[in-house]
Amino acid sequence: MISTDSLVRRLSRSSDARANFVESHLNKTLAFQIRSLRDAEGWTQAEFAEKLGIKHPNNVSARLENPNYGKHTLTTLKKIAATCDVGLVVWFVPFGRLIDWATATPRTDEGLTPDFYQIPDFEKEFGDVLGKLGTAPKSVSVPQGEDPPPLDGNAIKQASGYPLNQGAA
Amino acid sequence: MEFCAFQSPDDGWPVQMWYDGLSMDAQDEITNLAEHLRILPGGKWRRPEFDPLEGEGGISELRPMDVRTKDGNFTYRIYGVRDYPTQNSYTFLHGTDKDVKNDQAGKGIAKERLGKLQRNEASVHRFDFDGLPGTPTQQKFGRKG
Repeated sequence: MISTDSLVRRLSRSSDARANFVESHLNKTLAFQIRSLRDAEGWTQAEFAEKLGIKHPNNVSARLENPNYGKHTLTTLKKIAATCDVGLVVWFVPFGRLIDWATATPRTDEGLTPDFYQIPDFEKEFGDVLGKLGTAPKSVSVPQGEDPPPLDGNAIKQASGYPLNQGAA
Repeated sequence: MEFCAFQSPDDGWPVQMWYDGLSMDAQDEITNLAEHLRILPGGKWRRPEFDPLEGEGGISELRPMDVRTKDGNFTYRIYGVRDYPTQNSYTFLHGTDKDVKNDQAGKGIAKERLGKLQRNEASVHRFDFDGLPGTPTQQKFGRKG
């Protein structure tokens, strides 16, 4: 679908765009996973809410599966995981990892290593690439509504060695 | 799941062109929704993100989340048809900035285009979420056609 280099370019335009992407991605992932977990168990929304110990079951359970909801609490997520007997991970990641995940780009997961707590921000992770291509760094304000200068996908690849999908997804 | 879009000699690539003209924020939201629906089994597509539009001649509706900007909230809808041209594909028929509750005009356009497909007066192309070469999206990002 969307290519890695296209997503990097899109996210490079502002920190707001990146925050919106994270929020949208997270909301949908949680909602659809919860829906899938409930379906796999064959429970109705009311049954599911009862098992979670939630009051006003129909209303709340439907919200949990709504990709536009976005107010899942960690407490509720842990309850869902326990009820469905599945694991739950909540951790911060560099954008590169999220981009690979969102674009279904294979990546080797090295598990819990010292690097796990070293989480570069977007500028640290992609700053060299974007700086060489003339895109405004975070410290320079870009007027609202304007897009950053056009980027060349080949230049991104050459500058960073960042793996890009071959052709559009 | 593959996403395609309507095309015809008379209409060109109307949904692709509409998408390419949207703001980056709107494109992000549509793309994000499509990425998730792509891997979610079709049987699990439900309201609010998907409306099967029973009784509307086979068309259905994708509902990305509203896009909030400093100029206000914007609502977008994409009408399409499931399992066309093949099973496990979804073809976009008409995209719109929806500001009416029951968008009969938009549904009418979608139904008309579905009819053209069924009569072989039109065909489909693979939808490009990056934007086609030479389109507004590609001009913004400098991708050469």
